[in-house]
Formats: sequence, C-alpha cells, structure tokens
Amino acid sequence: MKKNLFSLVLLLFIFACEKPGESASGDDPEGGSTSLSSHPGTESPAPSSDDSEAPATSTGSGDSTGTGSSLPALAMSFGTNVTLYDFTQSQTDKYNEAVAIVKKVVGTDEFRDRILNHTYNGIKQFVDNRGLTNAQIYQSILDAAEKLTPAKNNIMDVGVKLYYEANNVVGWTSTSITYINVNTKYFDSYTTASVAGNLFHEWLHKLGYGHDASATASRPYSVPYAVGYMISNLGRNFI
Amino acid sequence: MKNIILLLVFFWAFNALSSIEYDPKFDYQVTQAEVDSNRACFRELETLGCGDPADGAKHFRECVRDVRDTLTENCQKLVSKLYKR
Repeated sequence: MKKNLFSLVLLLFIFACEKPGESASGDDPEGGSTSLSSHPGTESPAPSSDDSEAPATSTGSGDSTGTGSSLPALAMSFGTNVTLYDFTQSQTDKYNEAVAIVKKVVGTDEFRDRILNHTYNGIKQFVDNRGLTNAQIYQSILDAAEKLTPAKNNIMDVGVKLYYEANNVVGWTSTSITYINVNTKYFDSYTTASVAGNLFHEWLHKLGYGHDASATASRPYSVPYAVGYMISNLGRNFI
Repeated sequence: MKNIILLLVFFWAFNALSSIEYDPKFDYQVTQAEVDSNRACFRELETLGCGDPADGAKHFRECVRDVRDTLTENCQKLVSKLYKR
C-alpha cells in the first residue's frame, strides 16, 4: 500500500513538472540549440546592489552613467543569454530581433519611468508585487537574478522552446525549469515587439513574480503582465 | 494518508505552472508608416556614429545626447520619448 502511494506521489510530481505533451527531458533538452549571448562590457558582470537598496531613479541627483542621465548603469549594461531549442533559421532570426528589442527597451529612460510610476488603485504599486516597491522591482529586473540561477549577473538567462497548441495560451513556464515554452500559434503572427513582450513576461516568472491564473480585473497590473506590456509597447519603436 | 495529501499539495504549489493567455494588449500591430519612420530615425543615428542601441546602450545614449539637436523633427520626437535629456 505504502509502495503504491509512493509511486503515485512520484508520478504526480513528474506530471506537475511537465506539461502534458512535453517530453520529460528535464531542464537541458536534447537536440539543436542556439545560444544568443549578449552583454556589453563582457569582462565581468556588472556589480549589482542589494535588493533593499533603492536604485537610481529619474528624480535622483546622482549621475552614475556619465551620460547626463540618471539611468542606472545596470540598465545600459543589461545583457541577454537566451538559448533557443530546435528553432529553424527564420524562427531564430525573428527571436534574435525580439531579444535585441528587450535590450533596447531596458536601455531607455521611458521604460524605467513607466515601472517607477506604475499605478494600481491610485497608488504607485504593482499587483502581486511580493512586497516590493516599484523601485525595488525595477532593481530586481536589472539584477536579473533568476530563482533557479540566483546570481545577480545583470543578464537575462533563459531558454526558449517552441510548441504548437490550438488554444489561447501564448506561452507558459513553471518554477522548476529554466526555459519558457512559446506557442507558435501566436509566435508566427506576432510582431517582434509582441514576441519581446511575451519573452519578458515569462522571464519575470523566472524572477519569482506571479499573477492570477484566471483573467481577473487586477491581473493586467501584475508585474509579468504590466511590464510585459511595457516591453511590447515601447518595443514598437525598435521594430 | 493526510501526510501524502500535504505532500501532494506542496509539490503542486512548488511546481506551479505560469501561462500567459492571448491578450490583444500584447498583439501590437504597427503600421508600416510607423515602422518606416522609426527605422529612418535609427538609420539617421547610425549614420551619425551612434551605432545600434542593442550593441552598446551607453555609447548610443551619449551619442544621442550629442546629436539630438541636429536630428530631423520626427527623430527628435522619437528620441525625446525614449531618452530623457
């Protein structure tokens, strides 16, 4: 009896990690993969401050950039390490453009300002913010410390796998894997700005941010949705 | 049995799936005129030695600051929207 129960628990655990239809290939899928690494100033990862410290803001007087702007240096050095699994050449090209758009948007003042000024219920805050202020959320994005690879390396580390399903799910991920799954039903028709927004949304889950599973009124104000929209919206300028 | 149920709940919560449903807010359709105008601006900046913002944001921003006043009106509007002085 005990043995059967143990087997049942084990099976349920495996199914919880993998979406139906996915092979239980773990976190490092076999097959062709392309790694797209980009981080300006590759000598060493940019130093990053502790979460409890407030980042430079648009109203800050310090100029850590030397550019006459108060944009944090980490916003300009933000890098990407995106591994694409089994992409065709045209899919790779499209995703490369989306990844570049992410970097371009993070390097803008407007992106910082939109995060710092994001408002829900009349207060500058996000829904499901894990108790963090807007400034701390912005800093956590620049730190880029994924839950499964927790070093604050200022680099978006993520893998991407494509799949097709005829439903309304654009993409998904889970807390136990380092990659995201992107539905080609939407990927194929999306602009690169929308792909960038979707990538950022899923990556924000990797940082530990969540949102309501159902389409509640407050869900668009969660970190993954709201910041994902910002990337898509501002990304339009870089298409 | 109670322990098993608790264990199941724990594993389920720990491996929570996060999906994103289709939302028109993500599905931005950009007009060709908008794309052409933006591309022309970034080409203009590239010609002026600013390079690509994805390749070096610091250099790009410094360059934009230096050449901002010489840019065409549309391009000035775009960079003013994205990069503060």
